Amino acid sequence: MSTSVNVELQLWLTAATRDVIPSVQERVRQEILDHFEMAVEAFLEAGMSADDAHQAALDDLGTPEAMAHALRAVYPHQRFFLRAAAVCQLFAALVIVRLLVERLLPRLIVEYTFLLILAQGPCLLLALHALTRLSLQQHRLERPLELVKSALMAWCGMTLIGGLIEGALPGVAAVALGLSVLLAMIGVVWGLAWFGRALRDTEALSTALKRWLRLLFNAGAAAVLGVLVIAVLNLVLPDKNGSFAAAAALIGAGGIVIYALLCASLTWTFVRAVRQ
Amino acid sequence: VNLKGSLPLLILHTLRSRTQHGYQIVQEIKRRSAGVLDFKEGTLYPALHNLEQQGFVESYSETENGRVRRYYKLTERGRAQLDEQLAEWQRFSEAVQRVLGDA
Repeated sequence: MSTSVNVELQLWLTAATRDVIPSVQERVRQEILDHFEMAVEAFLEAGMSADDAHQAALDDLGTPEAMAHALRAVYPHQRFFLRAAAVCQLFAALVIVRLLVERLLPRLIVEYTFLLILAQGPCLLLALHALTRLSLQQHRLERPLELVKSALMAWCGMTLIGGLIEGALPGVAAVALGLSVLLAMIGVVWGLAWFGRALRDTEALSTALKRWLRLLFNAGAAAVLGVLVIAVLNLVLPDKNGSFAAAAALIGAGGIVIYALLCASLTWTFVRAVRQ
Repeated sequence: VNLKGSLPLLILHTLRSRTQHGYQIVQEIKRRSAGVLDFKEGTLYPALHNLEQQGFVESYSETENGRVRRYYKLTERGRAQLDEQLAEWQRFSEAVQRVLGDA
């Protein structure tokens, strides 16, 4: 093979496989190289010169962009994994920081509640959006997961409205918060049921990734539900330092810690995979 | 001719009779279609991987003359899928034929 064609093939392979994880890259490279060599042999047998045969085999492969696009439709995007994991971590970190501040510096949380809601809401949505996109690459779950996203969006929006009018219209704020909790719970339960079914049915994901996603999603849902329980009890119980609220806070915090650990572990797994 | 959407059906059908590797599948499709169904060969592999992920084909590697080669074969599930897709294709083709026949 002439040097220029060899370089061109290597560039083609690099461009075509740059978005997929290393194990997939290796498999695709191996298959394309084998395919390319067989095509070159066939062209040589047909009477072409070596350089023409190499060039024709390369042309027959098509553009690397088309290949990269087709691969992205089959395999999750490696940069997307990192982004999803990073967003999940950010959300978990924000919730944990908020819990710590609530416990250690309660005066600070009163002053900065509005800012924390502003930061936490979008982060939750981003995390859900990332997980939704991640799962949609392999499943046909648009509607249920979109419902979860909408419910959580409504939750964040109404919480924000409730937070804004809490001082002026306490009754309306309480109704808004109650409705938001209800919406989010319906959405999460509905989405969990669909997601669980899809994970059982599909053979699309590798076993390891499937296990990770299932753990992550369940822990995340547990964390979200824990936070919702806290919110409900805070609304229902006049004494927010009562034993029910404390138990709910503990459950929520436990779920969040598990979620954070899983997010960290997932990120590490993918960082290691990308570095390989 | 643009193969978009039909490639999985053609792959499954090509694998019905025997286990083949990627290059053989491409050549078989081109040969049987007398060159009419020509496509960019690189895109065959993502399509094959997708079929494998869905459980319609299985693959295994073999080393031949120092070269690692991956072969694909149809699974039982793939066979059922092929029958289903063929029936669907038949219905589609008949419907188009009826519309064109009216013209």
